[in-house]
Amino acid sequence: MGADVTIAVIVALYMVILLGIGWAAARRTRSTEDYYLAGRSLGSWVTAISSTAASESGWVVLGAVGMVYVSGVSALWLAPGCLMGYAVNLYLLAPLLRRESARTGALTLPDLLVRRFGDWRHVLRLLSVTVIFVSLGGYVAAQMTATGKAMQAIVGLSYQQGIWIGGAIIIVYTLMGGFRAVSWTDFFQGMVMVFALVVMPVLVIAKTGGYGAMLHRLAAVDPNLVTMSGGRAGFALLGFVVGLVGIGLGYSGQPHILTRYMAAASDEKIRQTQVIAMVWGVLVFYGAGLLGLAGRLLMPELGQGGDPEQLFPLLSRQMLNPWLAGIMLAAILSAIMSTVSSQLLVAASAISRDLLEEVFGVARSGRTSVLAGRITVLVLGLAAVAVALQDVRVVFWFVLFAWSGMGAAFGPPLLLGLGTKLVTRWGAMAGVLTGFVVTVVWKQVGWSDSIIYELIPAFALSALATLGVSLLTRQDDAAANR
Amino acid sequence: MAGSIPLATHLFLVAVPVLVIVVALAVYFAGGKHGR
Repeated sequence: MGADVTIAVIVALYMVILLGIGWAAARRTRSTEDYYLAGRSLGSWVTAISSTAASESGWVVLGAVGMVYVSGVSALWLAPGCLMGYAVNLYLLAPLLRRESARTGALTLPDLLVRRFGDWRHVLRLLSVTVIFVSLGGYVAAQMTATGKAMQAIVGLSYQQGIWIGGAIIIVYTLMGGFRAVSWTDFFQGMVMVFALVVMPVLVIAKTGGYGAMLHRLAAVDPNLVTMSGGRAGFALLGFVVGLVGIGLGYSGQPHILTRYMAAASDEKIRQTQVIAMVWGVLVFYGAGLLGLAGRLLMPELGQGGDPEQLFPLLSRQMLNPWLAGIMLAAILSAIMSTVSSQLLVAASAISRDLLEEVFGVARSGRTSVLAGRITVLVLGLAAVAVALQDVRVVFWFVLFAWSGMGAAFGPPLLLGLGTKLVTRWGAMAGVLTGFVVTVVWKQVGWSDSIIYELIPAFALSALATLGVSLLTRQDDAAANR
Repeated sequence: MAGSIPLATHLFLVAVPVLVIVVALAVYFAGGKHGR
């Protein structure tokens, strides 16, 4: 069997497994709670690995690897930043989200905010839905584009065929099995990702002569590649490090990650989730980093006019036998697809659950609600495929601020208000609005490049707005609750 | 070959990830004894 055929067989097998998981999940999906939250029955392994796989898209396996290839060890500042984001989510938010969601019966993140803080004429719910829909709508379309490009590079399909096949599979399993299918497929994909990002770095580091030899050879290419500062100093270094570490702030506001914690079966499952997810994060981030470092020595030509973000797929094809290369390439597809399906379901739930059911009061019975959810997934999924097929550049405008926008909008109200009674409904509304608006304005004005990464000021101002407005409106909320 | 690799680089690449895993495990086992 030729190498290309072998790789295509592995990728086809991988797709069949995804559809099989979707079918198995669909058989167990009967109620609204099943469709949107897997009946609050997730075990620790699925909660841990599916939440982390959903959070890391092609950005880790392609983007982060490429960044370390270009900048060296200093680019790995993103690892402690992201791991701090994991820790805040897992140790602070996850237990609170699970308990609050079970206590109030909340099924989505807007649902949880409204049931925790209260609402006024659906403003908090509508604000949250808008932030989610605007951020994730474009994000899903952009990830569909990435799916098409990955299928094109890996299996040799045309870009359009790649989008249709990849998109159809994602839509079908998400539509059939809802949250359970997305969680189970994300778990499977997360395991493929961690396998690839442990095995591949070990193989490439061995090929460079081992860990010590790799660092010495890199230092011979450029001494700045093996220092934590990368040759930067003063404000340039501070801005670089704060920008990378600051990415971690975004985790606390991503609905496609946070809903996994809401679906965990018990507090004990969350406790196990914490340790599993932290270990997964360490292996994946440092695996990607070490791969980027060794790749700089093994494929120096990518630095001269090539695309360093293609290091992982190119190195897999060049170095490995076709069977192992097929698994590595499936890992790249896994990273992208696990994020798309999670975001597609969250965007769809914002429409079907929060808008149709809660605001307009339609499709509220169990079967109708699940049907409405499935139709919304289908419509949104096809819309994303249609946008991706056109390769419209405007979708990337949304992607630029999706992570920061949701992180700054939802992170501060949740962190300040879940474990305390500090936050009022007006404070939550102010926090969501401020976080999102500051992100968009900061990015558009160009301050992200000239001053600091937009998430940091947006997060801080959202926290200030949440606290300030809550302090000013405590009397009002107390009166409303009486 | 260039000179020696800074100690900070080794700590950054090896000690930090190992420390994160050790702390995560320690928190889990400590919680198991006293946290329930």
